[in-house]
Amino acid sequence: MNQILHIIRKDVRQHWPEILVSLAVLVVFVWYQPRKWTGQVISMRFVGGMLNALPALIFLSWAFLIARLVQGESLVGDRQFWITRPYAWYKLLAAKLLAVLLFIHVPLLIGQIVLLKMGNFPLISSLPGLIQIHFMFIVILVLPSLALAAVTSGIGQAALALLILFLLLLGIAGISSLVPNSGMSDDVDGVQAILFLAATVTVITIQYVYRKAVLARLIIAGALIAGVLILVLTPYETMVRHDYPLPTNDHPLPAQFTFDRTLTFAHEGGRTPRWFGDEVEIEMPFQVEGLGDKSVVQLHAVKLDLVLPSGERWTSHWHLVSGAISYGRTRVWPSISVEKKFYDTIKDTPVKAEVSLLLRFFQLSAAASIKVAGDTALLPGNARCLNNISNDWLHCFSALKRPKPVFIVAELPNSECSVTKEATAQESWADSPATYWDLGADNGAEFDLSPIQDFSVALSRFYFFEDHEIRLPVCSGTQLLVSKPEFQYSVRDKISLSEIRLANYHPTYPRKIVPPIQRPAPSAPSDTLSRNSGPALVPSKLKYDHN
Amino acid sequence: MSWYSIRANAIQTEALTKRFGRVNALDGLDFCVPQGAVNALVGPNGAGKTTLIKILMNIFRASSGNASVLGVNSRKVSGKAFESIGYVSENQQLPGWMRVGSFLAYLRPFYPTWDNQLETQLVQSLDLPLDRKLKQLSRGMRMKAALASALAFRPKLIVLDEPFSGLDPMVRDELGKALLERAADSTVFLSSHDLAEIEDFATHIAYLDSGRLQVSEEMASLNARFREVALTFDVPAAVPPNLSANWHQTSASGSVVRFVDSAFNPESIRGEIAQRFGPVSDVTFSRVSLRAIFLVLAKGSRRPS
Repeated sequence: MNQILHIIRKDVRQHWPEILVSLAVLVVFVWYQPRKWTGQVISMRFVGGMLNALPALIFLSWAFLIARLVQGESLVGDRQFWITRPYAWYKLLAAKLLAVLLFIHVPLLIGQIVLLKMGNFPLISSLPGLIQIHFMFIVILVLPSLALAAVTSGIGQAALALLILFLLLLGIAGISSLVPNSGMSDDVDGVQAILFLAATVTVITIQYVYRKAVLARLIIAGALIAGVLILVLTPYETMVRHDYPLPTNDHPLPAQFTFDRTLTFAHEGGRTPRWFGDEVEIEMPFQVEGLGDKSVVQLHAVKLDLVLPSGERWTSHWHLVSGAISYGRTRVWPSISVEKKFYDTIKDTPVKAEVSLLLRFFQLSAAASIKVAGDTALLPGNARCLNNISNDWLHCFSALKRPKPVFIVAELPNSECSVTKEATAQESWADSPATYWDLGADNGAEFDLSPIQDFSVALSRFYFFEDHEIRLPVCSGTQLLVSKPEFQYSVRDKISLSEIRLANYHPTYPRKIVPPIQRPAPSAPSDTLSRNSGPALVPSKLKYDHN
Repeated sequence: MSWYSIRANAIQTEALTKRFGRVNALDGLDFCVPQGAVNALVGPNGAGKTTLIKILMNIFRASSGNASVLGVNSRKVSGKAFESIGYVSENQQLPGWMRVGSFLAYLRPFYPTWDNQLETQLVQSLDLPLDRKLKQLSRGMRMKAALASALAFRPKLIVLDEPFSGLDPMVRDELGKALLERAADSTVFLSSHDLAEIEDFATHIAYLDSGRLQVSEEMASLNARFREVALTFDVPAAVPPNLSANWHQTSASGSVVRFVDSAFNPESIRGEIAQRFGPVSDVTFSRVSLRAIFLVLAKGSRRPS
């Protein structure tokens, strides 16, 4: 222990400027956070820009400090004085890790405690989450910085290595975008993360025990190559089929999806077809029926298969979509992008089509009824929200993590909460109420410098055809019904569309759906809210603790 | 037989080989340094001296063969083993940001045998400026600071790689003196390509050339077996063929023939001379400088076989 402390004392004498800079940036960050919460941002362009860049500066200052600490006893080369002195490798490594703990983790923890205190969030119950955040910092920042510093002999070399690594990661991201369906598996991301974690730990160990820089660099290169190979060789389609099986008696479809042939996009009268770069977006209407009143279906991804008149088959890859279908919804418009060149050749030709949907089925727990009181609302998970009417959202704060999974419904607009004329002039509203949802899994604390999560809750309601929605304001007295969705199972649905013309499903701007359907006149709030807050959903004792 | 020759070896190598690509930096080296010796490893630049030392200090790994240092396999020389080994190299990177005083103070707790009195004595005798940063020191001063830090803990083995290289004579003298003072209770192993530097205090000498050990023996024995022989004849002389293989650099100038005998035996030499040259009017034997000895060895080792 003496040798460890002795090395740390030396490191403090050697690296006090770096330590001081990282502490100063952290102090400014802690000072600035509460100002951001209350909107007291500094408007001066340069200073404001610097303050917004504080998290990046903190990360940089820490990475720099770690590199300097490690390279104080450089592990690359054969001329360093310390390698022929009685240093025990494990004590040297322990000294560096302890220095990281003292000069990075302890100040960060103190800053986080100060912020929790300033935000009036409880400390003791936040401790496990704080530990989880620090563990994530070790994996994401400390170990990679240590590994990089361990295989380079100076800051210049480390910066160059970082640049090369950054370019390689950009290259991998580029490869990933070229590999069909590579975004479909979280398991692959997990395997790659474990691979890189193992590589960094191995590199650090090899360098401290044996100082074999060439081998350590080869391990990093090998891990990158293995990461690319995993990315390229993973059978994503097979994994999707495994993760999203076809419906069975035990796991039936949570709702029936049927292609709605009555609706198409109008292309006449100066409407501009929309496309993005080389791709054209196709949106196809599906009617939804049979969804239970306590159910939510997440539409996760969509795929389109076509049989061309020549008999040739064309299959898209899976397209991730973001949609939650809840009680009251009658229609969804999953979108898929098609290469423009291909689209132009077949857009007006009748083609046989089949659409596959990946669905995740959730059951809603009993809903808690929460009223917006004045300008504030308290959401489950001790999330405190301020009503930001001008932006049509609730500006919320919570300790360590956002409340999720969560599903909120509200009958909007209502008599207390008016909306702009532009919003009401477009179309009449769909039957379904305004909703906010986050169906992500609760994985504990979010990876963030600040322990206070600063997020918005915006409720949106669909227009009549349910192809687009708009954010609506909440007001004092607005009733929010908050439920916790519980994941049940995943399932895949295949829907045959028989013959279609793709051009009919290419949205235009401004959007117009034909044939025009007789729209009902705007009416008083529908009874959807009462259906949602019926006895099945609102127990006498609320599930969430409002305190 | 000297007292040190009956003790265990401080350094020992067996068939030690180090290859860098296709180049054999060390080629099957069998070599030892007895405890208590001051062993000088000499040889031209690129002979493999630094490579050998770096293998002994576990900075490099040998391609094959074995080496032991103070009884420890050189591959395991690390950490605690350096509590007994003081290593100084001409191109070692010292922490330039440290002052001399804090450098010594920093190293102190690493060594259980650190001798504060000896440290003070070394600082004084080497005239080290304690308040100056190492990066501000001249090369000679840095070497002195490194030497002080390597001697103050009374190591059992002092290993020096080209310690005198590029230093002015005064600094060389000071370093040499400091070393000699420590030599009484340590084994010293140092490399040099300048024979004059080590001639005064080495007890053993090893000559390395192209990764091969040409000579390794006690200085006294080496000095005893090399003599320059001058033969004076009454008439102009010529060098006869088929001379002894131990007679080197044979030359004739007028009535004088000279050569260096590398296996000098005062009892038999006159008979051998008479046998090869016939009657000689005068024979003189004179000592040969270390430099001359190694010139002979170097030329011998590079002679085509």
